[in-house]
Amino acid sequence: MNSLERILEGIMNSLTTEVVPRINDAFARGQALAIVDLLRNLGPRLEWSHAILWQQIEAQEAVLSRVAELCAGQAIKPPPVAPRSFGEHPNANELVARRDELNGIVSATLIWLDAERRKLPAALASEVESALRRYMHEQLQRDMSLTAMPLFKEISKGAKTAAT
Amino acid sequence: MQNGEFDELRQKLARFLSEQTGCVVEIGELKRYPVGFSWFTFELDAAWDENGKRVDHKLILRWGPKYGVLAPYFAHDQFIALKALEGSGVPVPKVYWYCDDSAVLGGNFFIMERVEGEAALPWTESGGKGAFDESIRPQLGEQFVASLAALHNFAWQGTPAAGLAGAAPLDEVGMRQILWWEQYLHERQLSSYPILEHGMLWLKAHVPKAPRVSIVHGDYRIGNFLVRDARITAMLDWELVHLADPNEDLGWMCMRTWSGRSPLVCHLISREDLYRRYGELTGIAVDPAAVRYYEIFGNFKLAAIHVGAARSFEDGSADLRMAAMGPQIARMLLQVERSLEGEL
Repeated sequence: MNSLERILEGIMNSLTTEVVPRINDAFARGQALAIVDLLRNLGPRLEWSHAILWQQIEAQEAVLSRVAELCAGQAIKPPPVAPRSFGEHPNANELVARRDELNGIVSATLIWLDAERRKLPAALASEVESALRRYMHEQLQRDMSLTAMPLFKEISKGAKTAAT
Repeated sequence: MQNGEFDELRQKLARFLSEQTGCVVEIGELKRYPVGFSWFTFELDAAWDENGKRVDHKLILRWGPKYGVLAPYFAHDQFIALKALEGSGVPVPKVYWYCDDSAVLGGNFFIMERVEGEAALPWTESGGKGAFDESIRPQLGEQFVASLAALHNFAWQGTPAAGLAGAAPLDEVGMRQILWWEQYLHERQLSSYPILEHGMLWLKAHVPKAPRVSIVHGDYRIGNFLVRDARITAMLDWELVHLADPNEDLGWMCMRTWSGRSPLVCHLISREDLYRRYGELTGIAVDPAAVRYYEIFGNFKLAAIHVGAARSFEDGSADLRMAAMGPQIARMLLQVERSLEGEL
């Protein structure tokens, strides 16, 4: 997913350079330009939903904490997790940065588990893997609950049709 | 691309064609197709002298944008593959020229003949109706498989197609592709995707040995061929062509993404009939496990392509379709997870 700033900039750019010059009807052109005008004013007032970002960050921290707990007492340790670097009221950009940092650590933990699996008790390795897979599955479910069906058919044809 | 840029592109193209043909070339309006999420496709009519006579040509310009899903784009591989396959059992458009000097048209490109036909899209109509009329579907299915078999049977060794990327011994050729896509993903991702890392580890641990090394189309599916009068007139979109395990094409075309609600592979043929007919035509006894492996790999690639689309938009692509692919990464990741768990 792109940054919100880039998405808004891209929508305004596309409307102005690709869409408006090819609309033959003056009223329709005006409507498209009104969208541009609205986006210019909405931009400074918008940011990604804190609730959605917090939900993911808390789930990431929970699974990484669980992995650390499972591996406590083992000679080899999973990749460390740095504490949060923001204050009590972070902005959305700080939350995005934290989410991305934790995504990287979850990935690194999967790679670590794959490389070190034989040095861990088999049951423990399975439990670590299950915890990570459960987190990934639940996160995908959360992400999908926010995702609308794509309009690739309409986009490819350049025409509105009933897609299923 | 704005109207003024179309005119500039048209003028530059006329100059290029004049240099190639050695005479004045007239070009009509460029018409950009909305299909294709990677290379831009333009239709154009051109006329130049041949043996003292003015001859009209219906052409297609394929032009690689600076910011694209699979950028940087080079025309060389597609051109030599298509050139090598001319006259083979694979229906391909005739290619005329290519240029990998982006100074000429602002992006690398190649020019080919415009083949008549319609491209069906994989997304089913309301009610789950298939993409092809049942009166022609079996014939098209046979041609679809025969064309693939001809591609995989093509003796590329000793032809210019030997210069395609990917050649390796049978037990290494699969891993080479995994590593290529791993690098692609890591270069393009805006954030790490744990499920893709998980998938990559699985793919690396289970690479099958290839039955042979063939020219692989890389995107062989519904949507990438033209049909006219119950006949496949051309296989298109060769930008991912390379040398690899032929199961890579089989796995890709069997992905549910290309079937919509149809039970048939690419709306054309049952999986059983595909395996049987492909085996008869190639002499390769299809290993269902290897095809499944490449279906999982296909889902991984499709997810990576969506990640690449988001990156290209973030980096400056003006194409909002790239941004629209960003939110769909979640759907692609879910398909990777399901395919790893055997649900797809």
